[in-house]
Amino acid sequence: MRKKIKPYIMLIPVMIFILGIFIAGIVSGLLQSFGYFPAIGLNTITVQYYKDILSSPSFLKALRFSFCTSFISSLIAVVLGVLFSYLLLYNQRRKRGPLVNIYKVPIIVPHTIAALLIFILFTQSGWIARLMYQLGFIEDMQSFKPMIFDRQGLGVIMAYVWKGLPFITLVTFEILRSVENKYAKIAANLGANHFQVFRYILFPLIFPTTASGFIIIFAFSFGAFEIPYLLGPSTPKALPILSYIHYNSVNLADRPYAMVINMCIALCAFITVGLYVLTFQFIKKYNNQ
Amino acid sequence: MAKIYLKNINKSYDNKAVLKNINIVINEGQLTVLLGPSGSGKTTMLHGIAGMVDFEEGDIFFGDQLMNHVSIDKRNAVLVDQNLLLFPHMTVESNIAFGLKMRRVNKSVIKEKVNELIRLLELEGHEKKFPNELSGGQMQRVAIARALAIEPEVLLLDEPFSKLDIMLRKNMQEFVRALQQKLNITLIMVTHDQEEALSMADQVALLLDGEIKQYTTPNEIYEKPVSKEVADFFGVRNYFEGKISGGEFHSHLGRFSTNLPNCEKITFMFRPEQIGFGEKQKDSIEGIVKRRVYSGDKVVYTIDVRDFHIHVSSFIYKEFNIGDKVYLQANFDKAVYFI
Amino acid sequence: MKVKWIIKYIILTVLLFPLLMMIGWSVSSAWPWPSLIPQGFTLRAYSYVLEPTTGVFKILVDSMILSIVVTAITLLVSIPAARAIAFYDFKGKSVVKVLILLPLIVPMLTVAMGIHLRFIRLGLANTFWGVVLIHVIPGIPYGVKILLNVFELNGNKIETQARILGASPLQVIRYVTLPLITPGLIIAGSIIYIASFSQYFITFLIGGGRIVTYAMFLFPFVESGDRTMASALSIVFILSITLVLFITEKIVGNFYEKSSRYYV
Repeated sequence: MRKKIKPYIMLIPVMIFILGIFIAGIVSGLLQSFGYFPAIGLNTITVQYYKDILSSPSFLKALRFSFCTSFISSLIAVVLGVLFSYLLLYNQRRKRGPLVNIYKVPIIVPHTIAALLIFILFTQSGWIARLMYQLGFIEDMQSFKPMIFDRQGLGVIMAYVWKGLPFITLVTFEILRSVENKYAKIAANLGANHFQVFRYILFPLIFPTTASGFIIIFAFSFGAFEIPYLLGPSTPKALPILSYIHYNSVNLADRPYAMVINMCIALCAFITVGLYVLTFQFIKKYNNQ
Repeated sequence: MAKIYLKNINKSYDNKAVLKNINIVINEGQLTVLLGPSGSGKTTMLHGIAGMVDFEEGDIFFGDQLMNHVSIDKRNAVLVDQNLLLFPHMTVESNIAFGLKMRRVNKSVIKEKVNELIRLLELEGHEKKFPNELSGGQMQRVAIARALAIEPEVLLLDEPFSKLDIMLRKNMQEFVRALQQKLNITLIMVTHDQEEALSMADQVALLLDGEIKQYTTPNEIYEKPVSKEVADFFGVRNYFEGKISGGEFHSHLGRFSTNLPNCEKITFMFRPEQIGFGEKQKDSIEGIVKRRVYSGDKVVYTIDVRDFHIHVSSFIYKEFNIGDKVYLQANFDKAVYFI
Repeated sequence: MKVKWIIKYIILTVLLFPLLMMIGWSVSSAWPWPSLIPQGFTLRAYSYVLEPTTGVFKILVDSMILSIVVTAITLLVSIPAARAIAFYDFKGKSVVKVLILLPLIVPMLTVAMGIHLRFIRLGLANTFWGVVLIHVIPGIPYGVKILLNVFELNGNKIETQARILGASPLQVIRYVTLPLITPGLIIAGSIIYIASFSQYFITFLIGGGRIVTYAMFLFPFVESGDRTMASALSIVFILSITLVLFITEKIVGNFYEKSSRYYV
């Protein structure tokens, strides 16, 4: 009997946080999104807030903006991150340079600072604009096409790529190296050239790790406030910012709108969880290391 | 006919020589075993033939073609690693088809070849399985099929059976030997297991410390080792040193009649089973049983003869206890000796 | 081969060059359009950060203390949870695993806004402990997952062996478990610390502007585009993280190196 309840006892502390704060937070947000908000006298369950939000153009634009910036930045980060990982592998083989660690610096840099870096480089008076000017590509500051606060969210994308790329390299490098050590020679021995080794052996074997890396950075950028707030355009706004505006409204009755947006963000996150779980089942299928 | 010729090969890691002036001719259509303890350089030699490591000095020929600068993917010498290294994300079929696919061989040709190998290696019914769904013996056969698919010039096996349990190992040894003879392929196998080497090989090369000590048929290498090192490796435990004069071998064990000519220094070698127990007579050696080790089908005794130990193995029907006085018989006329 | 080399260094430059620019800004007294390098040198921004009277340094230290507390609590709740998952079979295990990984995916914004009201009711909003509690959540998946890997890798055979040899449960923890999981603790602790130290939005929301962490202090400087001050604050930010990671690794690393002589 004691043996049976022991694992549950060990899980109590962590569950206090997970259930007491994390799940409780999601659930109370969910209730408020359906209009159940006794604190300000709202007691009836209604889907009106969902109807309002889902039919509002500013929400749809925000959804599109958030999805595009997150998806594109995550995709670029994954492609370049894996490429960089692969290139480091060959660096590694010859000599253990400092390269292997120095690329990790952006990982410890917070998103706020990542935004600052993009700001420094890409404003109209930024370093890139100056370089273009010095090289004679532009006449003055104003003719530099704005790359931050722009409607396409280029600045947002660049900041997320800068943060995401080394993260993807970090999570893929070790597994790429072990897979390479193990299978690359044997594949070459069977007649595969460098490209074929990557295409048929290395890539398929690191794909599950890469996919979960993608999902993590995608879900994060989809729900994060700092970067779109600091680098995004005033319209369209990213979902987290739209949500915060409703939340912070003087009129407390607007809060359910914020919660509806939050639930949409969370729903997208849950869809990615589904993908995440599928990925792991995919790994299991041939996990015989 | 010479198939593979290694000429004056040298290789070292971190200034430590692992292969020293290797010269060997591997015959076509034969199974050649590179035998040696771990660290003897046998795996390095195999990897060198496959093109996985570069030798520092020396040449490799396949037939009369120099292979030194032919890259690993073009060499057509396929290695089956002791860890097998089946691609975990591919089915049995795809694993076998891999080499052909890399060569962009026509799909229907691949299909046919794969089916042929599946039959040949008795893998029917497992085509769609992933490696982690297979037994040890099946994985082994897939690895061999994958290597054979590209019809290599030479098939290289690195300790192929070391991870299998003893029953399966025996089966696989027979299977591979039969397959090699049936297909008449050139096969080089590395092992540390002398029994495996002797039972499977056409030719055995014994490597010790990066040198080939003897390269001949299993029969020869066992019966007629060229040196004490080789004899040691094949389980010789007893050496008697002395001189021969007037048809008698003089040693500190006593005098024994022989028909060898006179010589100043000679060493006779006896395996434990080549010395027998007998009655007290002219050439017998008297000793005391010091130790006995029972091992199922036989007992190995250590017999003290003055301050000298002799190892004798005997079948069960003759039993002695520690402290018993025994008389040993050794036939010096048939024994191998080094001068 | 050449192409590979070039691509590799382009990526590396993209990653590191912006940081160089930031260092430049942090020490420039003047850097007008269109010059490519700073036109004047000053350490004024740094002296502002380190000057006791400005209070910035105190914010930094308080912030570090907060994140250390967060890290300690997160690790303390993660260890038993990871052990339970690694060594026991129980009903609902897969649900527990998903629940624990969920904060990795569900944005903290959703959680913080949802729980805010309850924190206000409980008197946790606008307090140190309220911020600590909300910071623990995003660290849990990392803490549990990394320690779970460590436990699964080591198994509990070594601990059982120690029990067989007569060690008490406490002695097992002290002499066997802790040394074995130390590398995992360093990695998990580092990630949790960095995540907590970098949090902006949830600190802002739950702390209500009363609890000012260094990340919160930095934010308006970035927002207003004050490049020199923001750069200097950022560099101090990064250095402080590096320093904490370095010290932990040194202290714990030493302990581990010594103990590993006996345990490995």
